[in-house]
Amino acid sequence: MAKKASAKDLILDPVFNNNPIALQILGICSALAVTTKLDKSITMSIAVIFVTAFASAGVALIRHRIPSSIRIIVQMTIIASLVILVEQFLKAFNYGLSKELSVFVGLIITNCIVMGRAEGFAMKNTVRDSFLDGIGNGLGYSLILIVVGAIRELFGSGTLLNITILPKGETGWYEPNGLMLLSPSAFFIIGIFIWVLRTWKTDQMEEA
Amino acid sequence: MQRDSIANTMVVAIGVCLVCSLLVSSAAVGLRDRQLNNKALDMKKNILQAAGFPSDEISSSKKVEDLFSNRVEPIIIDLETGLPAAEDLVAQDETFGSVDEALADYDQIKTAKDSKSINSGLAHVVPADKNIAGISKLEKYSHVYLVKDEDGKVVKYVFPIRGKGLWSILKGFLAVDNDVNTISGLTYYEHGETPGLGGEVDAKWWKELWRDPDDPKKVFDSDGKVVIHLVKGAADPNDEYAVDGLSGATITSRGVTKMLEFWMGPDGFGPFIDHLHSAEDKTESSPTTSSKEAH
Repeated sequence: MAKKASAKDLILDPVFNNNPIALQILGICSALAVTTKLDKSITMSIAVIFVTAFASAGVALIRHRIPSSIRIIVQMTIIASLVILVEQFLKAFNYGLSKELSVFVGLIITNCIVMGRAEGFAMKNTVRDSFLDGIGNGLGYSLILIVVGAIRELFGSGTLLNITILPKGETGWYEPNGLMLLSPSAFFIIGIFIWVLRTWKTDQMEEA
Repeated sequence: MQRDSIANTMVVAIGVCLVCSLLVSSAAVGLRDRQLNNKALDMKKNILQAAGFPSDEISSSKKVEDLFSNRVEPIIIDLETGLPAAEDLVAQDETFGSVDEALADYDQIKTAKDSKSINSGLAHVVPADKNIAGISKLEKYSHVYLVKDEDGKVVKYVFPIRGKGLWSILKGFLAVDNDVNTISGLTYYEHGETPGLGGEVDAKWWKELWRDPDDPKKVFDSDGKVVIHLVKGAADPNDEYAVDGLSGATITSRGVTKMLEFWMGPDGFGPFIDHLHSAEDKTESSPTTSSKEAH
């Protein structure tokens, strides 16, 4: 990472060039679980962006003081507190969604992306850069989540954000694809996404 | 101070913990009222859902509040005697200042779990041979919700029920028509069963089975015994006491059967239901001949 990275690079680089899910294959588990509906994906995305950005900023702020022996625990404490904060807010302002997302908001703690950015980037960079890097990586995660969520909801339930797009049932013609509501479909979609991305950005291809 | 020294390690550890705990606790305290509100609202929504109100009538929080205050009358009963007992609860539990407060805030599940409740008489231990629903401690007082039609006549009763499934205690509501026998809905608002298997207890298709107007289900047989149960696979459509079980969730299905048996039986709402039945007989038989029906 260059010393003086521009804000634009910090934010956009993880979205396309160094996407945490597509290139680093991190955070897959939650990407499978919360993408059955677009509103769930979006809520989860916002939560992850918030947590990654502030966790990285927080870690960067005290990076010169953190003793290496307890650095992982310190990072975890900061991340966990932020996740609890998000959980509390969600329970207060959107109870229905918080019930649907259930344990997965809490499991942001174990999302490798958050931890990876705190340990891999924020420990060595300024607060501003770390904050932007956190937003960028959160966005990279969100991009995949939202694409997968949109595809799964559209073909699995015939709706987008609970608004009917493909009419089904007695009056409609669309037969929902049940596979889309099951976890394996997310694997397929993420796989295809990675394929498309690597065809477009050939330098991301791994050597065979 | 050296970065890796013990002193610095302690300072950083304590500092981080202090800041983080302050953050978390202030959020928890600050948002508490809103969260409790949401939880209460969710409960009301579930009661209305069990009572069979269509989903577009309970789509917003305002609609839920309005509908609940106009059409639902919450009461508190003594499970043992089956009689209304809100005043007794207020007298026994000093946390409630008034009957209204008790009706709104009494949390029977929390009371049953509380270790102090046994001593204060607010709950008792269920003997092992009667504990078919997997509830070791039962509260003395319970909520019941009377659902009224637009003219104020009671048309449905909603009972809070709970019981053990495979992984968790399932908490929900059973609604019956005013014959206190025909089921008009069963909903679960909290459970931790396997998603896709036992977790289907809160799925729409399964809830529909409990409120099918063409195929109403009944709780009691002609002898007044609780016979409603889930069967493996598809239930016989002519059997008004059997509902399709959840495939791949034998233990959850059994849990649902057992909790219905418990709560509708003599240790649950049985005494309350007996009172309702005898009151019904009086009003029905008084204008005509005074035939004595055995109940």
